[in-house]
Amino acid sequence: MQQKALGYDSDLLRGNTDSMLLFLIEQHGESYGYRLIKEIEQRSRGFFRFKEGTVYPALRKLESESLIQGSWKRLPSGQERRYYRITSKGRDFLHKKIAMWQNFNNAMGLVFEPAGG
Amino acid sequence: MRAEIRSYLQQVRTRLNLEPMVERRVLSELYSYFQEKTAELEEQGYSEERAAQEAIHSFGEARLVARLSYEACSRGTWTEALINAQPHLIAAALFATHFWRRPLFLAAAFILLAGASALAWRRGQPSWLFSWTGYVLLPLLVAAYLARRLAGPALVFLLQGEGGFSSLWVLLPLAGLYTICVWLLIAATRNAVRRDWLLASLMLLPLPIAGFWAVTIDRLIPLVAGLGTELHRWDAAMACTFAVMALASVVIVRLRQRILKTGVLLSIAALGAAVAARVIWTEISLLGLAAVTLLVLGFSWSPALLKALHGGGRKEYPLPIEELLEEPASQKA
Repeated sequence: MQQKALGYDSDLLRGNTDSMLLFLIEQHGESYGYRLIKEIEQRSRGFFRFKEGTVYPALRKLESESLIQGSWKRLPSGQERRYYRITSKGRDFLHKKIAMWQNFNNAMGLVFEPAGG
Repeated sequence: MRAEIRSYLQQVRTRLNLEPMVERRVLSELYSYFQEKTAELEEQGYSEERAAQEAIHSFGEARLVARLSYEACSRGTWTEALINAQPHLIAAALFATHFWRRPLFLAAAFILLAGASALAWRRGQPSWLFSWTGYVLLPLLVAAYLARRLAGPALVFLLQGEGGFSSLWVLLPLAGLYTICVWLLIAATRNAVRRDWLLASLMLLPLPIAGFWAVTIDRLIPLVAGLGTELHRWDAAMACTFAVMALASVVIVRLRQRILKTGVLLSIAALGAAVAARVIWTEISLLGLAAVTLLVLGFSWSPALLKALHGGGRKEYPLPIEELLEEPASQKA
């Protein structure tokens, strides 16, 4: 996922896109591209801004790695949507990533604590 | 569908270079996004035109989306990679066992290659089809090259008036053979280039290497008619070259980035040409070696030039984008 926002290192977002998408898909049981885009924007209160077209290749990459599984559904309006569900491999991957992120976050917090605090 | 969105999807489509089923899925999902985004913007008071423009702007450059989509979808499975490598391995095995001189084994290999190509053609032209097609063309081209000897008496009669008039009859089947060979080569290359010039290059890769060998063998046959083993002098080198091509094709299928795939393809073409030329023509000069390598590199790169020259990189599609997207979901990968 690529974005043009300032205020954070773009590599930081790129490296964690997979985890965000997997987390949101797991939360909903199943979800689709546009909903995920809206939700990332809402949950981050607009902090993460990126070109929305980059989410779909990220989803396809996750699918090709068997971390999620997609299927087409036809809506009453006739429109077709591709819904994604997390796989057991994806769930394991996500839990490892979350644990890794939390450890990293904790360690950074400790490093940034003022001396003698 | 609004013209702006159709044009955008067409721009992505032109750069995708993916299998038709996967391409349909990618475009359908992008179209689904545009339907939702424009509907939402129109609810917020945007005009249809403004909503389409805003949706395209939010989505990002077509070139970027196509590149990322290609990288996400172009990596084949290990099974696909191994299927891709099979024709190279069959050729390597024919040389390693010296069975290339046994008509029965040659015919069996050709039937296998042609059968698999026909099957793949009927099943929507998967990427691995093209490496198999290259080896179907190979024996035809070698046969056409060797058959030129048959035209000798006819040419002597035409140019010098020596020999019988009946010698001219051989020109008829020869003309037919050459027409078929040239037509097949052009049709197969054009078809592959329409899909992806990289696949066309992969298809053509074994032709110059095997061509060097065929030219040398052809020169040697009258000299060593009684020395069977002399003809096997290059078998080990040819087997190794085809085995390396097999390995390279596996790497190309498994890589995601197009630039890396292109790099591996051109490296293997240059290396294969240099090694084959050095082994077959042991006394070749450095300049000659460089010329042969450049020639093969140019030949491998020719599908890219063909694509660039033929309509500025535009592709011809059997289905307009609207019809493609209207197909039911069950037909999408």
